[in-house]
Amino acid sequence: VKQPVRKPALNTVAGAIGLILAAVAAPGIAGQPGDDHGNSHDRDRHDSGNYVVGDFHNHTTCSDGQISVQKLVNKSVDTYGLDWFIMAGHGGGGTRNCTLVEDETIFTPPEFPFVPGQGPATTWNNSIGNAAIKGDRQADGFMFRWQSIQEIQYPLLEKLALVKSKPIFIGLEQVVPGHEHNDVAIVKGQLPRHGGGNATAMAQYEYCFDRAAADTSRGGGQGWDCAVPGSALNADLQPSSGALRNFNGKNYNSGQLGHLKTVEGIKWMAASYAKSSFFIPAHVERAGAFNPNGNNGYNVEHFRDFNNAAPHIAFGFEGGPGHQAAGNRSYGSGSVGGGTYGGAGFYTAQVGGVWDALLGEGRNWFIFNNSDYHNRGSFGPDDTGSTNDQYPGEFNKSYVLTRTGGRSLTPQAIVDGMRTGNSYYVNGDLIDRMSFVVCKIDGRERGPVKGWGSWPHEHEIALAAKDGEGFFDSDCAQQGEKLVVRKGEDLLVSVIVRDPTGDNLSPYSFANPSLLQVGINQPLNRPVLDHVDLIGGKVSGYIDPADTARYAGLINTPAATNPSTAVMATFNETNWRDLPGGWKRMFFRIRDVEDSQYVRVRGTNIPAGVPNETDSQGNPLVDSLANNVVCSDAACPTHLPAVTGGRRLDFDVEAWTDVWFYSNPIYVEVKGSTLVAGIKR
Amino acid sequence: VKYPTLRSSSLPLALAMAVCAGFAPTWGHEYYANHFQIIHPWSQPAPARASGVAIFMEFTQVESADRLLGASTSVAGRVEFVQPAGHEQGIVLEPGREVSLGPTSAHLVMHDLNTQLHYGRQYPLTLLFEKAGTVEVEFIVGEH
Repeated sequence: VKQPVRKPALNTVAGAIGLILAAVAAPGIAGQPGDDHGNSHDRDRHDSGNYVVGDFHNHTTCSDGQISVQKLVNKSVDTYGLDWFIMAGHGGGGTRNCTLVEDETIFTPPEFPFVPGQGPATTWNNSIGNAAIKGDRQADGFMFRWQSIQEIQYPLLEKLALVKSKPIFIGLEQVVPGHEHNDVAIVKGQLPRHGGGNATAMAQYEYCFDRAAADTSRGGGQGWDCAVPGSALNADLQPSSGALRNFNGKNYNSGQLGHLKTVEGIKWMAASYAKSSFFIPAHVERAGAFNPNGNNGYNVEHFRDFNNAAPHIAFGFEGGPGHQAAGNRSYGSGSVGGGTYGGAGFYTAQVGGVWDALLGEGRNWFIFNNSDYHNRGSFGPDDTGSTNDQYPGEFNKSYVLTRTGGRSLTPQAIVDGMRTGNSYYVNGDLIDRMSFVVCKIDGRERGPVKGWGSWPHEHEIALAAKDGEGFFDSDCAQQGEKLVVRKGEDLLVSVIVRDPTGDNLSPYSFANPSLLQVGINQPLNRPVLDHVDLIGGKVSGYIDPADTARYAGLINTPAATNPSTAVMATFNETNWRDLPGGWKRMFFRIRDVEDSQYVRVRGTNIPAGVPNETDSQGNPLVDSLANNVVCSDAACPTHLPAVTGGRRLDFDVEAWTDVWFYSNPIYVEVKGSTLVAGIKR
Repeated sequence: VKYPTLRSSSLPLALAMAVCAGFAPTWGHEYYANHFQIIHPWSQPAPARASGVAIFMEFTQVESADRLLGASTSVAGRVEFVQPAGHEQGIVLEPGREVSLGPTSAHLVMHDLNTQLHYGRQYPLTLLFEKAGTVEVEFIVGEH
């Protein structure tokens, strides 16, 4: 049994980003065989960028969350140390004033003071009064979301961003016509350098394209329409077309027509906000497969449609959904795949499944995770336990490489970073640093001999990992990039991660009940990286939408699979180089490359073949099986249901038990083979 | 939020009805059954040992008929229907009709709460349907 190493209490990211970010020294790698000597600051720094951690899917009482804007921001960027934060919330609207803080201990700008006797559940009518509400439902005290985004929440977030010196701005969890939900942001206008910004574009998108948006006031007199330049659907969709919201009698808020409207929304963003917006479908398996006559989930063809419409905007989905502390990590048997798998949705977790099908086309399609914070279930917002959600930064973390040229981190830099695909997501601080790089190497070059020496670029890649930076080299590619090579060349895949020291944020320190099944005694708050899988598949090019059998289909159909995908290598303590401070270095040589392809990695604290957690190949099993594990430690919390011999593994304890990380892909384009068309560099 | 039973990809199209544009339930707290959706189950805050605490919710995207037969929760001794006089027991779901369980219509009530229901928290609720069977949801304390 490996002894656990210590993890830092909170994530912090070294910052060449002009913000107040503490640099965490990477301890103890000097003096070891193959180490990287010297000061990383002596290196050529041509803006290697920094991985910064954030969240873009969460809720307050302005939709169906249960806490104020200020409390959620404070928890996210102060308590849990996020580097950036996008407040979301559903489209539609509501009656509660989410800017009223719960009590006087919560920091709030003077323009949004604590009001004794009021809090985030206080209605708009009882706080600012119905007369301040615009749109069709003023008399109901119902504020449409476009107004709260534009006039209420954004101004507050801009003040919080200034005080906290972090990019804190506003997005949306869109209620999607034809589907369930989607994370979207338009950053145009938000957080300009000298203040005085606006979220007008974000608000207008919500007004025009959210399924729950029912206002007809055209932005309370701002004259908004929703026309998409050149679109044949304008006559139906823009609300100035006469029968407002009636869509000329057609139902564009459901099924296939709803999907078409959603694609129009992407085109609307592309027309005016092509580089300043993103569209990331959320918890994509949760509502089941697409329903052509209702509003349920997404199939693979919908992701293709989105990406085809605007690849700079629709470039991925939420591979790691939030609500990880809910029963069985939030998905029920009605979801595609019947549940989450190691916390990931089935589209992401299935090797050779939907995500690999998209990557196998050479698309720029990347994965992220989020908190989806609403509340802590049967616990209060300041309790450590949860039967529903963890806060942003508490469990799910998306690391995104941002390049700012030494200037402050901006919303635009975050969107740019997300779009590049140079990002990875982590549960429970399993790792907090990663460099994942593929380089061309001379066929005669060799790796370390008997532990001494190093692989090509190893020192530089390790230094980038140590500093939480990207690695840019003309002979190499990192996540979200492609390496163009000649047929027959040799490639080296380098993966360097840090399994950090110290406790993670789990409130539980008793032994991991799943690992006890196989004789491993590992505290729940100190997960140890067990292994890393290198996964790869071939690229066979974009599928023509007219080729319906290959373009559209449910899981396990030809449209939704990439049969060439396989686990190429598994790294663990027997074949990775283990260095002090929790560093692991892994290398894999691809000889005589023939075909265009991609590689990606995943890692976990759960070995292969752990009952109810992983199969014999190390793939995660559906998370509902973890209910079969009995938590028998005396410290197992009482909110786990009692069963014979202890308590049933579920809720937050289940999440902390089984933690994973996922990278995004690196592409290899072989000259004369298939073009990796979705990646331009 | 837990999302229950697997939705079929081969539902009869003729039964599927549009959601009318004017319908504005609270989005985000939704549950998906085979042939309908459950929107935002909620109750008011209540002290421990209280009885008669109502649970409200809405049903939408009803694609085939069903009937809510009963409910239970670990936080209450029992859950009963409150229904207008003359109605048969249970909540009837019909294709294409949205059903709202509200204060002035049929709804559920909890008796003998064994814990305080705090505003902003959520608790498990098991719904039993004639055709969909058991559907696990959670109700939130507080309307929004």
